[in-house]
Amino acid sequence: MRVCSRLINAFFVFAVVASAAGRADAEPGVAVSPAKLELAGNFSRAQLLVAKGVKEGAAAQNDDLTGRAIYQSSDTAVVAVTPAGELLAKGNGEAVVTVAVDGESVNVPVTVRGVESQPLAGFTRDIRPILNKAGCAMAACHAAQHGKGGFKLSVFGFEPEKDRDAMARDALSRRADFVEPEKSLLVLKPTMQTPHAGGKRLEKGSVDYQIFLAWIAAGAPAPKKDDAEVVKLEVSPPQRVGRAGLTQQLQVLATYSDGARRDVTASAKYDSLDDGVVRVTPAGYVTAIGKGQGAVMVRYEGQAGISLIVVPYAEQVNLAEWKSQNFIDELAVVKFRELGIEPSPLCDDATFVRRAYLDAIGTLPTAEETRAFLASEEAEKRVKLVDRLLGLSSEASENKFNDAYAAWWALKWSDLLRNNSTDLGEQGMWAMHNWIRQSLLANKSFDKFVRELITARGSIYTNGPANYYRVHKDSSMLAEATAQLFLGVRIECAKCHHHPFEKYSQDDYYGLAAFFARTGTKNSEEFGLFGREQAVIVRDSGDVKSPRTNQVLQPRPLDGKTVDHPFDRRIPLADWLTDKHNEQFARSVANRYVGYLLGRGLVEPIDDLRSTNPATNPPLLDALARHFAEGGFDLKQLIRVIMTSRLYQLDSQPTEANAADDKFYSHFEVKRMPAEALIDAIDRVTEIPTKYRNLPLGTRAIELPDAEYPDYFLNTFAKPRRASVCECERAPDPSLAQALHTLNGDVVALKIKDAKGRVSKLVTAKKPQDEIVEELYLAALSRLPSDEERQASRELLADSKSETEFYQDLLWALLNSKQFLFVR
Amino acid sequence: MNTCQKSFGLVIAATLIEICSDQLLLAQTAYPMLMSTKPVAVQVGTTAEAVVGSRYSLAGAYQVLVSGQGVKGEVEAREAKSEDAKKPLEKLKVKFAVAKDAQPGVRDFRIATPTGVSTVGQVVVVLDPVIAEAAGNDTVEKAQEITLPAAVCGAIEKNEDVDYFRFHVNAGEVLTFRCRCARLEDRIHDLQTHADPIMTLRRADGSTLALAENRHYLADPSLASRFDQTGDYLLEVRDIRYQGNQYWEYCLEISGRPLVETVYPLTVAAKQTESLELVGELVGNEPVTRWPVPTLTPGIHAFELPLVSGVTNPVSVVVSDLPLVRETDAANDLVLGAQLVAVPSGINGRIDREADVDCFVFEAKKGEALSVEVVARRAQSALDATIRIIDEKGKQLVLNDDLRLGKRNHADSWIENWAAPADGKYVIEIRDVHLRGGAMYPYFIKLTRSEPYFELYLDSDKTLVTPGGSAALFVRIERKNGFTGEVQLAVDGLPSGIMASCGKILADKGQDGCIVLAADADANLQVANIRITGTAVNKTAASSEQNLAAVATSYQEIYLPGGGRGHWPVATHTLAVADPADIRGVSLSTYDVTLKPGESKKIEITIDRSPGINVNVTLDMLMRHLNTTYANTLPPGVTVNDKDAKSLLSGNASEGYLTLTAAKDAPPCEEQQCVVVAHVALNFVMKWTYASRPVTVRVLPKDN
Repeated sequence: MRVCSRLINAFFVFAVVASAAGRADAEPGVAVSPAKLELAGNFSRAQLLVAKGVKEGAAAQNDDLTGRAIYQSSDTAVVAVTPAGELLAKGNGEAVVTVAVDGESVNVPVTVRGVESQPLAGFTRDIRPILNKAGCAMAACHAAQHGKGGFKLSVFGFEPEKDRDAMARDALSRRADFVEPEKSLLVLKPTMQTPHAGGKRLEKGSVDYQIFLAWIAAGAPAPKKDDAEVVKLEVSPPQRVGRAGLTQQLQVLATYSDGARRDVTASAKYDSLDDGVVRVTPAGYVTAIGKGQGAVMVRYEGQAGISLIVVPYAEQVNLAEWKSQNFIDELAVVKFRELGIEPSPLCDDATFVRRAYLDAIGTLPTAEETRAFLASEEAEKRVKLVDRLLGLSSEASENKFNDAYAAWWALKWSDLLRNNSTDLGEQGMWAMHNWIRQSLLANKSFDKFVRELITARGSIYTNGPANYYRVHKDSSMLAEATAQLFLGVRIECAKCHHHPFEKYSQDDYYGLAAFFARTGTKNSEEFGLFGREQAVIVRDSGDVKSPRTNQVLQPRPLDGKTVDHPFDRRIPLADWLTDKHNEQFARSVANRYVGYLLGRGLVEPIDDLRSTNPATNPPLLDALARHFAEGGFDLKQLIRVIMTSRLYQLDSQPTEANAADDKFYSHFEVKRMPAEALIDAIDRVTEIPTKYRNLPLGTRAIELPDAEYPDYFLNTFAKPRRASVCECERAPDPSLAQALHTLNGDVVALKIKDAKGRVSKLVTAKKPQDEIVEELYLAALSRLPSDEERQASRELLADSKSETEFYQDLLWALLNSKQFLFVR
Repeated sequence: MNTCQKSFGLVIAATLIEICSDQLLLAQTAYPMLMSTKPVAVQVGTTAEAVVGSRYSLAGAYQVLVSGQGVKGEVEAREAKSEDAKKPLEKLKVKFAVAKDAQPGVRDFRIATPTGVSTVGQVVVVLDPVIAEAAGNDTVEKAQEITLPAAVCGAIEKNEDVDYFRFHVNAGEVLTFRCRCARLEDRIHDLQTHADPIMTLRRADGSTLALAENRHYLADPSLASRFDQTGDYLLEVRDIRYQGNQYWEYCLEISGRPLVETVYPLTVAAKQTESLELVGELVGNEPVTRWPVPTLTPGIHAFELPLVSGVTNPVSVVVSDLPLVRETDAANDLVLGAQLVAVPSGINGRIDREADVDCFVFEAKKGEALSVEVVARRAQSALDATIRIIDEKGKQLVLNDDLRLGKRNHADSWIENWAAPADGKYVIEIRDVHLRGGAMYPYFIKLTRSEPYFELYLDSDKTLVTPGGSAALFVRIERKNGFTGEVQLAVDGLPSGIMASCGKILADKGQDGCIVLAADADANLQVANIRITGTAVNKTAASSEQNLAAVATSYQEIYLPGGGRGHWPVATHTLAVADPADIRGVSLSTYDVTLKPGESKKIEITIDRSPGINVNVTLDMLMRHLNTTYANTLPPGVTVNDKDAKSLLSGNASEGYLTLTAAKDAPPCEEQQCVVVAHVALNFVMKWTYASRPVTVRVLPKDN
């Protein structure tokens, strides 16, 4: 569904539910949502949204007039309305709220029912949202480990029974005065009528204040097990496009497990996810303060949603030069147009060949390979190069990079799967490495790869993926790792309490963990008496219990229904996880590969695909995910479609028009070469290989199977220790230590001046000066030297006392240049 | 650290050094321990020379014993002399002569020397010409050229060693590559790290064509590959960790012949002609063979099955005398569809596909004792079986995954002596514990009525005795299905000049017995494989008697990293008469100890050291290492009182004592043969165990 039509639908749905009569009798040009509504019960509230016209196909551009409109109730004894357009039920009956703006007016019929003289307030529906919105149930306040001031609440109120007791029963009920509720500490403190270290959290006389009083007056009723829970949150508008300074009131609707729907705009919690673009008030009033795209995260009762605010960088954009190569480009250009961004032109061939080699196979092209590519005049030579690098060429003899491809991507997946000999022993580590590498070499479909991993059983030496169950030693670790690796869901927060930014509860967490509750190991002697072989097995018993309820939880996928299997409950998990229709699976992988290749994921961090962490270009992520799933989860094809897009081939040099963009790929994102690719590149340029512990000379760094090596270069350049499944473990940012190491360290210097190295060989061969300079440029930077660089070299050589030293210095300078150290 | 602390630290350090020095006072006479054979393979119909590597000296080697038929080993006397008498001879040329009809496969061999018979080594009998690895084949550029078919023998001899072999094939050719390496190391006593080999098939430019790690459950790789293009290819062999060891020998058999890995059905009846489906690589043209089964005792045998083009490689087939039934085609995955079988039966089946489950139903009376044994992995099936017995309502009654035989675990399953809780039908459910399946997953289930029996296990693989001296051989029993009787031990195959005094394993709680071997004073150097048996009479409830017998399984002692003592089964137990060694005799103050309950008695012990021998000697009546007791032949309730003993004889000391104590509640024992042993350490694990003449121990009834 397109964004604009979603917006229309959102308005429509609420109108239908909230209004029996249907559409508003709006004056032309102005629309109010909802057009008609019913408020049920005391304290019932609703937020009106006023827009300038509802234009089909361009709803995101509608101006929000909510903040400027004048509101008037025909009967304030029935319904009151604030200047911000918030309605509050006062008494049973009917009334009309008139909305006037820009010389137009709209009448909104309102029916109020269920208002009682002695109002009832429930803990789950009424009190907990106030505690959360006010921040009382946050870890920094009363939900700290030991509470605050002797008053302890659970994090986000995930233990409502205990919270209610803490408020109403504990400490000899001193916090709640059931006779004179307004004298309760529960309201005196947050309103600062008595000192409160947490400051003012509640306005005396406010609706929330009155809800508190009503709850206490009713005897502070405890939560009930069958209290309806929020199952869905809708934020309107989901997207808004406009100029800097635009304002937008948000409207939030909650759907409960009993089918009820409530406007919870006043109780929801709002946070800006892009402080440089958008601000939001506690009432959900948004102001765009900068250009670009920013999101507002909305949370309420364990559910979360977002509203995307887009402020174009420019009014006009010239995209005439843009030639889409595939669907990626088609969807990218939509975003460029929407944001007013003019992308950079295509990079030159020299830049492309270096970029493509390093990104596809983690390997610098040789001087010969670069020369051949630059000289080639074949049609679509970039596409053909990508195919050759990926082993997809129709000419089998051209597919000579398969081993490098497998090694490079095995390094990536070995990091993520945390393959390491500390946990697995040498044989286990190698078995897992070989499985990963062979899987990539064979271009095993990614769903099969994941299935083999998730359902792995048997020998840890013979069946590499079985080691997944030794790296991650218990059901909790396995659930967390699996969710983050293959769904991009960081679920670990839900181990202790409801996820703060997600819809996932403890039951979701332990339901997922239950899939792994029966895995274990047994000893085996197939590898001899001290082979220490173990086999991963699935036992016929073993469960996880909810730490909150002590109930056994049946295995249940996230957002799914309970499933099981007579012998191995991981089988239905793998079925669900790798199902073509499990969008989250394909999206998480697609986003990772976008991040690897384009330097930034559509969602960042690339393994954090929360609903509250939206993609910068959602249709593009959806399309890539669809392409990946429908293509049989073919990783090479996923890489190919990205690398052959125009988007991938853009110059890294920003233009004046797109310099401010760092999210939408208007210019290629410059990336620091990872540690392993960098040292391999230095080795290749200098022709002096690095020797690694327990591996024969000639083994490349991208082929290293283990996590840690006593290698100062690799450690300085942040080779990860594989302690986490998080992508963040490989720090991408350059550091001073790295710069100093290549500038002044021994590693580069010794390789450059090694008697068996490239410089020595070139000098010994008495090659012409221009030829040597050209060779060094091609080897290091994958390009020919410019005329200026050639001339400068001649002059510097003439001034140099030693020819060898000059070339060594030249190579040193090239290796320390940004053009060498970065993929650009 | 202050001065006092420093002094204390120095004292501790000095003490530790002294203790360690004591430990290192090792034997001055040690038998050889075989480490490797280069090349490790010999072609059928040829005689070839191999260099056997050992720890301790092979000097004076005079005989080679090879297991099985068709292979003879020989040592030339001149080869068995060390150039420098002071240096141990740790490399020895041995000639192996292999008959044309010798069955291919791995053979154990030992070498007899004047200092005793060696631990076991291995040699592989192969069909194709043997090519020994050439030096310097560690890179693609220096790959060794080989012509196929061949058995390529080499070693992953050092860390980071990678061996490359280059060969030529024509388009369309199919080859099998079979590596034996890790499996050759299980029985090597002192090889404390083992290889984990990996083979990679590469194109001429070094790019990967195929990679093989462990074949099914095996620690060694094998693979089959079809070559689409004519040209040169490379085979790379290395340890998966890039580790190496001069003793890590390998044999790569490369040919275009089929490689049969298992058959279906797995079990046949003797003297019948059976149709067997062959499973493995390149068996496509001849998938089924008709085979007249020879007359053989029930058990697992390796057969070369007939093919149109010759015979297969040896394949494990089970021969059984049970009435055989075969899994039918009917769906038997659920209890409701279980296939009806009789008791007793031998069930041939196969886990045909992933997550396949097979169910068989039988009838049993209340209290009827039954055994359900799966034979699969032991006969080279890839199945790691798990079995359950389920009642008609689907309730699990008993489950077994792995079984333990003697000192080792196996992937097969065995529910033994299970008693039916009521008259009714019961279901045996079998599956692969890892839910795998396919042609490589046949099984044989022995469903029998449980009968009492026993199994015997030897604590070592060899016994050494010197002229005029004695040696002890310990036997442990495993009682099965309610057998509680006494077992009389016996030995046959003794060489001349050796007398045996065979003890017994006492009834009920008796666990160990011993045989004391004594050599005549003029006994010659000689060596022989001996067989230890046990016999018993089982008295049933109906007062009838049943004769039972068992042959003892021999175990090679294995030096575990850290100094532990492991055991791995071997086919033979070898007795050797050696030259006089460190200890010439062990004599006691008494050979007859009678104890009343609560009473202790001392046995004075004198050892006769050979001239100049000052090694430490440890006296004992049990077989112990570190904190584990491997044999205890004393009557129940009788113990060696370690607090009242002089059991460590250091330097030139030759007199010590042990005290036996009968517990106050020790049951009476008419007589039990025991023995005093005097251990001299060869390394941290192995000992040369000298022995006294037998000691008879009695425990009187309480009221005497």
